[in-house]
Amino acid sequence: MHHSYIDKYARHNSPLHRLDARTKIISSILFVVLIAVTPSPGSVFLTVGASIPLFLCFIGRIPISYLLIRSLIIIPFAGFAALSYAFSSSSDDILWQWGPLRLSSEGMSNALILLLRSWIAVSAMILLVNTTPFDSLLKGMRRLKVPALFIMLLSFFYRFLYLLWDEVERMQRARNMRYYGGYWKRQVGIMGSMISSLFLRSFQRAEMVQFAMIARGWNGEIKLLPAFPLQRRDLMVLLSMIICLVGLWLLRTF
Amino acid sequence: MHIPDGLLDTKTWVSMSLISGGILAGALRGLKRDPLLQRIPVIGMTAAFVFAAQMLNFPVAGGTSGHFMGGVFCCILLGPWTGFITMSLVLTIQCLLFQDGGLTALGANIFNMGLIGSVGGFYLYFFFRLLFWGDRTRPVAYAFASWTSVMLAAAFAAVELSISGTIKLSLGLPAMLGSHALIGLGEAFITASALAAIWRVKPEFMTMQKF
Repeated sequence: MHHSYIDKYARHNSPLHRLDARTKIISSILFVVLIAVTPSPGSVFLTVGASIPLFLCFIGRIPISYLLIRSLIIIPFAGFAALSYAFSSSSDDILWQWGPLRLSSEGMSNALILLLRSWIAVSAMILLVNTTPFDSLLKGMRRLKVPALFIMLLSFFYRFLYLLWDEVERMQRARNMRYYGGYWKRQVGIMGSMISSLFLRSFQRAEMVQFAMIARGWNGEIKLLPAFPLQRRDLMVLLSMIICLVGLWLLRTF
Repeated sequence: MHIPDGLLDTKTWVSMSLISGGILAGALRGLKRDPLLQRIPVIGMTAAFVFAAQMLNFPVAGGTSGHFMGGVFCCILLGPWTGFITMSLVLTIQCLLFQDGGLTALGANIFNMGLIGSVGGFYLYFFFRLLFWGDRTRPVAYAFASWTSVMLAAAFAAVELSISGTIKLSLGLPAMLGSHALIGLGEAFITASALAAIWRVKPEFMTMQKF
């Protein structure tokens, strides 16, 4: 169990970590949706929008470098889209030309808008999972009326994930000790048998868990403790986040 | 093929989210009703399995590495709708914990990879079984089904991006199909060899009652 690097900072302590999960979920969803639906955002909107995650990162005591590195995950898709934007504008103000490739300033600004927008959304999500432990995230989602069955499946998933992760690492180590690389057909065969034995092992384990649970009286439902109320502080923060977002929305054309 | 936030426009992501959410709600209701599948731990474990199996990287030409996606594999073993729920769980966790795929694009990603890439692959398998009906050519049908489903999922992603006006179809479609032709090849070989191995060891899996 040494895989805490997924949500590395989720169990630290800061004002942001102490907030109720529902507050954080609602405000992150609203923020991401606001960023995604604004049709042609202006520069002020994007600057303010980009500074919000950075500011919250500071409050939540998460290193900025961590945020920046994790957000590189958008590059393959968003980078390709941005490149296609930069080179496909039909306006006349050409900055640089090489054969059919024409880099215009309008295309450049469109590409920058796209990248920034994508970055803001992804960093809001990174902040959410790195300030909320996964179990309270699920609890918050449950209180926000996400179907109970889906939450249960997600919690089983999360619980088994680390177990199988260790299993895969062991299998990989065993393979690397016995095998020196080789013809691709053999590699594919080895991969196939690794995956099938991983599947059979995990299936067997899950069935054992299921029988054990049924033997102890489980009937497909998980009972929760009574709803825990939102603190006044959480409501205040939620309200001020919503006011901030409305303010941001008013800025959208600037 | 995970689309991040900000690349789909509002009409596309809202409608894709509604479609995927509706199908997922229907599948979950079916799961609840089915007496055989009071099997929530199995689905949770299978989703974790897909996730763990995706960590097994294999080298592809040119220094890059590919990994197994597993949608068709799960659908053939456990049934199309169980496979769909499994892939939705995997995609949701990838979106929430790893930021692989955006929150607003989650519906589109579930549609592409869960519905087209997995359930679609399951039905394509029956189509390819008509062409390769023998017992020995079964892996060929697995391979064709998973390659075609990867290509279809990539094509759907390109179409969604072009409907949003982000990447033109004339540019996006060849790029997506070209890059996924190779990925799909890896997926096809691995799915076929993994399913063939299960067929050898535990043939009762293939005749199990499915949902």
